[in-house]
Amino acid sequence: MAHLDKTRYRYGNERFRRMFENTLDKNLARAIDLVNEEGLYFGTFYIIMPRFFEYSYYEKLKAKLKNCVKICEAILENRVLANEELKDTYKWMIETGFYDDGMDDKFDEMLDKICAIYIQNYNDKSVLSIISNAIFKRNREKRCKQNLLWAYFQCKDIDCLKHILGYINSPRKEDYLLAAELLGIKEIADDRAQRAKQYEEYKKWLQENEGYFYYTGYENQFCQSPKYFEVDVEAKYLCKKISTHNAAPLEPLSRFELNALTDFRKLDEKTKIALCEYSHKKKNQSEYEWEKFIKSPIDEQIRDTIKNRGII
Amino acid sequence: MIYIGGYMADTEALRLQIPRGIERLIFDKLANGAGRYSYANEEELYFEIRLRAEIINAAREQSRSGLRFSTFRDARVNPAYWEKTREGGFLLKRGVSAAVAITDIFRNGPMYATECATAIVIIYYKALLNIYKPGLFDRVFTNIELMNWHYLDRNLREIGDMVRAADFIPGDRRYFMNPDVNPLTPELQGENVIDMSGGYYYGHDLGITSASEIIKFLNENRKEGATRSAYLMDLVGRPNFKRLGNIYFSNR
Repeated sequence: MAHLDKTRYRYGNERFRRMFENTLDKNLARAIDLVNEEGLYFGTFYIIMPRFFEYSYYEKLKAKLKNCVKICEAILENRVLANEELKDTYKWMIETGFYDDGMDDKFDEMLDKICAIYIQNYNDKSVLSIISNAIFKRNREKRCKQNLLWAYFQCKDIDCLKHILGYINSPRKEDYLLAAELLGIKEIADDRAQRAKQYEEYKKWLQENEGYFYYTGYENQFCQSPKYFEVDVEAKYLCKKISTHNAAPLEPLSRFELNALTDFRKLDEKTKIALCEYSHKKKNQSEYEWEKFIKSPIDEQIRDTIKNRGII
Repeated sequence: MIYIGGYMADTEALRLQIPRGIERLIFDKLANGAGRYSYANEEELYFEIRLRAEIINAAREQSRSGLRFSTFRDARVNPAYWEKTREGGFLLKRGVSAAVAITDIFRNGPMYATECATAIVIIYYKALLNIYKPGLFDRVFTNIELMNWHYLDRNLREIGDMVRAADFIPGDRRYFMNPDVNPLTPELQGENVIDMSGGYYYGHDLGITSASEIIKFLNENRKEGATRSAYLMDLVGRPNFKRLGNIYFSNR
C-alpha cells in the first residue's frame, strides 16, 4: 500500500481526489513522485486517472501507469489492447483493483472488463482465486456478478471448478448455494458434515476425470444452471486426454483408436457411459489388461463391462 | 405425433377445432413432428397451443413496447411498480398487483431496460397473464423477481432449462450462441429468442427477424481474430405446459 492509498482510505475518495489535484497543480514534482510510488493500488490511481489523460501529465508517469492509462482509455472507447508488454499491468490492475471492488459501478464494470481481457488473452490461472473470491463477495452483497462470472469461466480450465469447490465448506449459506449452483450439484446439504462429504465426492470426481473435461460454453444467460464443463465420454473411453478449450485430443488419435471410436459412437448414451467408466477404471488397474480390453470387439467389451462392472 | 389419454389422436378431427393462423400452425407441428406429444385430454392440448400462441403474441407486444436493452448494471424500472435490485433484476414491490406491474412493462416500455434473458422471462409472464386474467395471475404470482433465469417462480422454473427436443415448435425458447464474443460486450455472448414460426425469431433489441440476421449481428460483436461464427443451438426451453394448464383449469 502506497502513501496515496493510505490518504484515500483516511479521507475518502472525493476528498482524496481534490487533495491530489491540489498537489498536482501546486507541486507537480511531489504529485508525480507520489503517484509513481511502488505499491500503489489500481483503485487509487483510477480515481485520479482522468488528469493523466492529458499528455503533459501522462508522460511523467512510470511505464506501468502509462500502460494502465492506455488500457483504460481503450476500454472506454470499446477497444481491446492486449500484448505481452501489457501483461504485468493487467495483472497489477486485477491483483490490487479488487481491494476496492464495490467502489462504484463504473469501477466494478472496468474490473470486469479487465478480467475478461486478461483471462482471454494471457492464459494465466494465477488470478482465478482473486476473481473467484470477488464473485463470492459480490454474491454475499447481492451485487452484480454476472459479467465477472462470465470472465472467470473464459479461462476454460478445470481450475475454475477447483477454486469454487472450496466454498462448499463455507459456513455461509449464500456461499455454498452459489458454489453448488456453479458446480452443478443439484442438492446441497445444509449440514456441515454432509457438505464436507459432498466436497470430498466432488473432489474425487474431478480427480478421476481430470484430462477428460471440456468447456461447454454454456453460461448464465443461456440457462438457469449451466454445466460449464462436461466429461467427454469418448476421451474417457480411450483414456486420451483432451483440451478443455475445444475437446480435441492433446495427441492425435491412432488408426486403431479412430476405429474403436467408430464402434463406440454407435452405442446408446447409457452404454457409452458404462463402457467409458469401466475402461478408465481398468486402465488404472492394469495397463496390460486394459490393452486387451480396448482391442477386443465392442460386443465383448460390453459383455466384459456388464460382467465385471461392480468388481473393478 | 399427438397422443390423447394414451391413444394416438385423430388429428384430422382435432385440427378442425383449432383456429386458423398461428394456433393451427402449432398444432400441425405437434401432429406431424417426430416427437411424441402426450396429453391427458384435449383441453390439455388446447392449453399448450394457446399458451404457445400467447408467447408469440407477447413477444410481438414486447417488440412494440419500447423496452430498452441494457446490461444488468444499467437496468431500469418504473419505480411505481418495481424495485431495481443491486444485481440488476426487477423486484415486484410489496402490495403491487403482479398483473398491473407486468402490464406496465409493456405500456411504459421506455421506462424499463434489461438484457435478453430477462426480457424473455417477461414474455412468459405476459403470455400467462393474457390467459389467466389478472385475478388468477395475482393469486399465482405473488412474488416476482425478474433476473435472467434466476429466481424463477416455481411454476415457471422449467423455462430456465435448455433441453434436446425432437422438434422445434413455434413458441419455443431458442438460443443463438456467440462463442467468440468480444470480451467488452459479454451481454452479446448469445441471444435468447422466441421461435415466432416461419424461420423468424424475436430477440430483445433485435426485434422479429431471421436467424441469418441475428447471426450477422452477433458476428459483428466478436473479438478480434475470431474464427467461430455465432450459431443457433439445437436446444429448446419450454415451460411446463401441463402444470400451468392445471392451474388454469382448477381455477376457472
